[in-house]
Amino acid sequence: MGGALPFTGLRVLDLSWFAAGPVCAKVLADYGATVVRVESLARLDSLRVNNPIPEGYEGYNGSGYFNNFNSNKLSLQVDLGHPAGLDLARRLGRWAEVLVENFAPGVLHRWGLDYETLSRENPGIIVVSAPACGSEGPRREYRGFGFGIKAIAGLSWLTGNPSRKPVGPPGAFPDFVINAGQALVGVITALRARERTGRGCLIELAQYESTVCVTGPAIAAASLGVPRRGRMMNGSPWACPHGIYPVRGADRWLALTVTTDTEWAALGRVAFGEPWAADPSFATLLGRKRHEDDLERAIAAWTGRHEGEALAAALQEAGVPAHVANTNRDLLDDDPHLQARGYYRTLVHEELGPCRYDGAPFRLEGVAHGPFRAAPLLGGDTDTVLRDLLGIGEDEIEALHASGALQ
Amino acid sequence: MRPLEGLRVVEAPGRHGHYAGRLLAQLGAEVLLVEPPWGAAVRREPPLLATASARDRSLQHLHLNDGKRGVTLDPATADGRALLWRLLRTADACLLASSDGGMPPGWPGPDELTEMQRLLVVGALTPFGRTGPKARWRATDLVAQAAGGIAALTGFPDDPPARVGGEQGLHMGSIHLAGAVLAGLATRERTGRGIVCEVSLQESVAASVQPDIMFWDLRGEVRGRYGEESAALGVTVSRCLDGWVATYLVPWHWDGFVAWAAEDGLAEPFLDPRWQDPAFRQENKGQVDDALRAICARRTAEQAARDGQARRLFVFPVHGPEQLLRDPQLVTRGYFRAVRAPDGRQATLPGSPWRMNGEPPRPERGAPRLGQDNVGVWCEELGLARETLAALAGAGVV
Repeated sequence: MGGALPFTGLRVLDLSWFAAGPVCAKVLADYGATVVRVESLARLDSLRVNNPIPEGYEGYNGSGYFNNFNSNKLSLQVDLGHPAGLDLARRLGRWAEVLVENFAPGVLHRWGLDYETLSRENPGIIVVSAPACGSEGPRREYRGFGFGIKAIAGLSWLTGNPSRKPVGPPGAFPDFVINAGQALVGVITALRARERTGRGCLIELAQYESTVCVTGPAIAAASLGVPRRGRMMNGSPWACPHGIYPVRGADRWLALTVTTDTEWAALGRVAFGEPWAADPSFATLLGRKRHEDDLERAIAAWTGRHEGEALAAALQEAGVPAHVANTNRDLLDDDPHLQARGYYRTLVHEELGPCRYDGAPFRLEGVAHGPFRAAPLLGGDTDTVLRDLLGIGEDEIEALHASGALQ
Repeated sequence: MRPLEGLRVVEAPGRHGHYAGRLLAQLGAEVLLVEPPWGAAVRREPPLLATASARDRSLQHLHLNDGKRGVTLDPATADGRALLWRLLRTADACLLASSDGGMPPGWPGPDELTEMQRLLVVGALTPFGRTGPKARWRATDLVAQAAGGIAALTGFPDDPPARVGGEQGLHMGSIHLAGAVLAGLATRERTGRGIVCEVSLQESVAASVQPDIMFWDLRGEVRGRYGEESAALGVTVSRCLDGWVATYLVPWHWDGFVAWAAEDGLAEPFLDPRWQDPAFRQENKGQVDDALRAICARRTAEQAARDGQARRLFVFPVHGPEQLLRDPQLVTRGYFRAVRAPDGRQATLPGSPWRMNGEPPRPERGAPRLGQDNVGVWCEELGLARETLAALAGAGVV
């Protein structure tokens, strides 16, 4: 272990908030980048005061929601509404190689922190801008993040029970992987291109557009008039059974899918003795589809008598894809596989003590990646950033504190 | 010049990882999809066109393999294997994806690849990662969404857990696979050596439940499906005149919300000074949600979004693909990509996630027909004689 981290020394200025921007910058930090997260009490990231917060905790540093997206970063507290604060941000704009932001369109321009302005003095800078719908077009003024993006971009239309409201995926779903992940792909690509050209780049990732990208087959089908169902719960047009079934225990569930007749035969061996398992009319996909509802009910009755983990293991042993529907508790404490892989990291937070954090979303083998350090306290690294990264002297730092710019 | 121009990527026919190759192809990498002579599995998956050849009918293929070159090869044969190695020697990176922790038939594994070719960056996407007790477990998209924790949170508390539609588990794994390979290439720049980049589908899905993890860690709360009974203020999906509208309020939206309610004569109850207290709002969130539903019920989805957004509230229409295709925002930005469908008609695909200096990077070609680039790659680039290619084709190797 201990090979070269790909982004050691990379200077990242994180002016974003909520989730998509911070998560993108967090992965760069996991792989070695120095990430300065700019925060201010004048414009507090509301995630800092959002649940989950430990019972009885008061302050700005207790939110797991915030902390998980900002591990491994340095927090610089500075008020961009204060002239001296804005001046600091511009100095950071000259320092940075990558700037991540998700302000409403036009805000950065007003501050002179937009790509055009920054790249005059810092031609290598890569600016990632993630507006809700885009910097131009009739919806350019739209504000919002994953909660609304999942609806407008078609994911809610594709998700869940067709006889109920299209509530869609949970929470701000597109923020965490679809938009943060595709933003990251754009950033690393721009870094690679910079090696060749010496020039940076303005990357606009409109959250709306980025999320529509993952609905390709539905878009293509609609454009050609090919019939396609929207929400279809857990069913599949080309597999049966294909669902999530109850298992023993309160609100415990198991996903299992049978895509081939071979897998069906394997399921039958695990369910030996069940009348449906030996029924020849179910031997083919067509036969199973013809009696799909009956079959689903019979399988649910069978799974309901078993313990989920044991049944999943037996099905996997036989060659049938299956897994319990993990809860947040299962992921952290009860899935022996994730534990063996050490996906979640325990890091000691200055106020909350040891807490679990998501690890890096991918691994480079032989490279010991982060996160190495728990989320920073609000403004916890202000003096360090000013002194060590910007080379500002103690006297000036004191004057900045006195001026009210560092709030 | 497109940003990844000059990068050559060989992609094995793994169903779970195709979207990674598509992302790299959009950015200008030359992505060579290597399929068995009978075609990759994705070519047989719905939605299917009614009138095109059996190997080219799938709109999944049209989407997932857009922008790639396509060659055929059976690496389970000795000749095929030799040819595959010749191809891999020209590649910067190789994408491997598997649904059972193994490799596609005949393909060398990541360790063998990096051993034989020390400069190669290998991206390996498997259902549960390359290590750990479930490393050889199988997963489809649905099973991965269950294992990664998103299903337990999706849908209504009185329904079974639900997946996020459109194979989002596979899309998320593939997005991380693309990121992993690019990070691996950046590592190669520093070390001068190839590397194996590993992605677990389960962990990729788990990355989408990051906030929920902390509910267990910090508060000991097991999270379930909340349907539309979100704990947060003003999170609703409301029926409107022509569909559905999604709303979400954050603390600084309060005055805008009250002003909007006033427009419809619904503000009266919220003028009580007790509503100035955020805790009071939270305790009585049902009244706020009801008012939002009433406001939306009188408007079309578009009107509700326009009026709400004019007050800087997070209000969005719920779109299906037909609405997306004609949404002026996407149309005027030139977002969509026109490609030729296999039946000769023009099809529309989503465009790129990014604009770089104002331009969306786009691939130069659509999804390949089976074996479309066999002559170009095997003969013109790797120097195989045409007669040899014909003989290999006769023997079922290509």
